[in-house]
Amino acid sequence: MFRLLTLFRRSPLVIPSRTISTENILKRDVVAATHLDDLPTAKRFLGLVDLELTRHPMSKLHEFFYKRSKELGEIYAFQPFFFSPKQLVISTPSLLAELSAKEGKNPDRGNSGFNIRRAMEMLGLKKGLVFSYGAEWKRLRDPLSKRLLRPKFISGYFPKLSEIAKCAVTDIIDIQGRGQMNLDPIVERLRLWTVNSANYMAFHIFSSTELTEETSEYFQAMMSIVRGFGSTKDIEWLSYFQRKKIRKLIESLQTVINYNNKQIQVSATLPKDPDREQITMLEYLQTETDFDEKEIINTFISLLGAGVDTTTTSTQWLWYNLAKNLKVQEKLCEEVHSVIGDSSVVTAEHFNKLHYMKMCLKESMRVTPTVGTFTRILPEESTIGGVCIPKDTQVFADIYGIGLNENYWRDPLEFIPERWESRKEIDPFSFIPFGAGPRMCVGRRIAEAQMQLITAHLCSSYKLHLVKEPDPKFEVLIKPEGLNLSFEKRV
Amino acid sequence: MNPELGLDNYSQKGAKTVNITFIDRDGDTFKVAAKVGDTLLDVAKENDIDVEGACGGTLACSTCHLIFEKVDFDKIPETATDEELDLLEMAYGLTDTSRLVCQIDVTDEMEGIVLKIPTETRDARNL
Repeated sequence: MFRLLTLFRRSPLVIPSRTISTENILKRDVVAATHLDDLPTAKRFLGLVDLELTRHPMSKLHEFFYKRSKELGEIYAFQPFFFSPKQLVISTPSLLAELSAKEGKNPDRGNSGFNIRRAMEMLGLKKGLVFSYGAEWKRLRDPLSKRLLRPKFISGYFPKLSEIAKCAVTDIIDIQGRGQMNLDPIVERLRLWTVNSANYMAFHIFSSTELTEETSEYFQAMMSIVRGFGSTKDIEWLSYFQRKKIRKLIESLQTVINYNNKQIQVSATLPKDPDREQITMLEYLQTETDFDEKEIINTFISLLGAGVDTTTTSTQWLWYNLAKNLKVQEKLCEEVHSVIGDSSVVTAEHFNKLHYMKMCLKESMRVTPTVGTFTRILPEESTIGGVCIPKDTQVFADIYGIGLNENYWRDPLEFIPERWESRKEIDPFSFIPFGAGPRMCVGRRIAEAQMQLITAHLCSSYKLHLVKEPDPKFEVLIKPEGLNLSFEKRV
Repeated sequence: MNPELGLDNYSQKGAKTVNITFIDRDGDTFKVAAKVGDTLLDVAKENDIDVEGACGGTLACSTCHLIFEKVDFDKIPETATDEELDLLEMAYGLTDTSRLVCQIDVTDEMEGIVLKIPTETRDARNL
């Protein structure tokens, strides 16, 4: 009897109508395209009862698509509620390449973040960088891409970003020196580091290293905004129950707006350095774009909202992987020493030579990703993998699943940076943590630079040890809950 | 120098230029004057050459992928960074002498180089 129960539990609770492999679909494509409605469907809910709850508690939601793809194949439909329109999930590099080719010139991210959108509307904020699409999105995005993505442009920020990172490392070591066994204060300090870096680029403010009550409140607000991204349009009918959440989000947004307004005021009082090489992001948005005041504030909320927690979390994962793989850490330390030497600042020239560092970062983002999926809505009715999908269908790219799929990676669960040496053996679409194409993460280059700069400073003087394994927890981002590290001074 | 096309080593604004040839998907050639210091993507755009550059030259996509002759490829002063290679690998019709031209500035040494637009492309982007 017990055995029977076990069997029952293990059997897929989602009943696949039939399993279709991509190969079959591609073959069929020659004859006639399959329709989204004909695909096996993953359902998260039946009515209000979460069918998957037994195997997929909300804290493990990042594994949902990965596990479903093992049962339903590489391309399947997804229906979060019984009444919601079907969405498409894809989990092979070639399907991702196809999605990327069909996303159009002004790609649309889809309809996530329902609650946060409502909260923004109620505050009189427009869709902004994150939620707008089409020509409006392009108008907001183009000026930012020029200042945030062009490698030659952002390399001008390196000396200062390096200084801010070094300062953060000193503080982190200091925090641990006080006998801190919990990583939380260190995580807070990492958040402060990302915010300090952003404040420097946005306003030329070199913020304090003290965690004030104000910054703490600001962080809490930012995190609740990030969590607000988890809600989808499907919950619209539940809006009565969402009111409380939306109210909380409005408060959080107001906190973030106030914080940014204060930074803007402070930056207005700072004397302008006549020798400075670049104007601030704020001055740039004020003088060289057609953004109005609200759009400028909205832009800062979008950039920080998308950049702070993601960079902080990915840095923790990178440090975790280095602590767990001491041989890799030693090799990285050697590279850092040979490239940077005695220099106290990491310059763009150093940065371009940190090849092993880049491999470590990539490998960390593959094996322990912070963001599990990205979404697109194709401009017209279209086909993906031969499956006909109606206009407005949301497509989920399961980057978490592809990164851990043994079809594309040897020993997928192992942290092996060396695998990135043989570039030609890796399908580039099997690893796109920042997305690719015109709507690629606009903060990508800054985030990559920040993570590598702080890790270079840390590794050059300290050795990381793993004290406690983390338990990955889904909070829109995948976070290393319970992670504990210690830092040993190198002699 | 090509008097017929009005090409000269100096453009009207006085910036120094070099002659560059693009070969498009149909095999047609276009000889243009490229300002030294501009990126090769700027040059293509200014002369209405069919190079997409969907992300506006910000190193976010691979649609400004062009193929160099081996001898010209070696004249490019800076080799591709890891970041460029990550995106270049997503390009269709990749060769050993491929580059993303938004990352390459025109130099004096580029006089006479020939750039080929790959025949394979992501058709959907051109819809």
